[in-house]
Amino acid sequence: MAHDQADFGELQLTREFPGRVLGSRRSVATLAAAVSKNQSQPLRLKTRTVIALLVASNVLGNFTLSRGLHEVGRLVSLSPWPYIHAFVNPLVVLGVLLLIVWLISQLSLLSRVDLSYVLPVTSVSYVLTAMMGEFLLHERVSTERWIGIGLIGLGVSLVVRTVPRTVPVLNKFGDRPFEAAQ
Amino acid sequence: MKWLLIALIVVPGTIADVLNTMGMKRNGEVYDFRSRAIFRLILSLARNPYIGVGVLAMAVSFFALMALLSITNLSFAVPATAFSYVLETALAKYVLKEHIGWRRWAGTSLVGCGVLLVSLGV
Repeated sequence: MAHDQADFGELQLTREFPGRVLGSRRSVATLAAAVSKNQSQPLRLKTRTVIALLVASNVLGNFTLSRGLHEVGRLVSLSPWPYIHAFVNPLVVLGVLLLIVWLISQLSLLSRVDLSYVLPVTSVSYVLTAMMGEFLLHERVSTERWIGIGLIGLGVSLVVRTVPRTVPVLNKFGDRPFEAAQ
Repeated sequence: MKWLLIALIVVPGTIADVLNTMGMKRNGEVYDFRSRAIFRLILSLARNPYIGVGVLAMAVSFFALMALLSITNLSFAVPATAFSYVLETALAKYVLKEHIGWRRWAGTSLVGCGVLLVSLGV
């Protein structure tokens, strides 16, 4: 029995099966303890956390970048100077950094789950952009937009009830070989 | 000109997503999000040909969108993205061999319609 349990713990920590990783319900406390205690423990993020990171960085990145570029002014030039000059603006820098976070979280998400799952689920960013317009910038959001937002919400709620991954990942990125995918 | 730009947004955007998915599935599952692990991930992605072409196609799509936005407004530009949802889901089924049940088809179609309405109803 004790041996079995130790084995199970080992499995949890080192080579989780795809289904386990995706559906894992390990507590945040365990994760936080592992991170604070020992840096050699990998920092695992749940798929939903990565989705939240992706959506947040997408919405905020687009927002700050468009604000920043608005401050900078027109950027249609063949000389590189206006582009370099744009990077002096802190909002532009922040926007570009957020879009880098967006790209990395998008790619990590694609390494775990289906493209046909990622696409609809991350379109929550349209909803957040419209809501930000309404509540933060006090723009009027039209009825058609609210209906569209409702449809996106409905569609996403259908897609999140499907199995996130239906194809095998060929190997696990990192030092250990991954043999569970077949 | 407008329609050429729309094609330059949709086609490279779709190719980018499919190639990035193929590249990331081959590269392996990303399970560690510490900064050093992310750094190693970026180094390995730089040597991954799928990701290289995918990110290049993404850039083409992005600059085409910028160009289109400079000659039309958002309500003309974004509905093109709504169509690409259905296109990409079809490619995910036939190229990436993902299993797409009715729930995912219905959800994706609803999201596509929603994006269409959100961008048209400015």
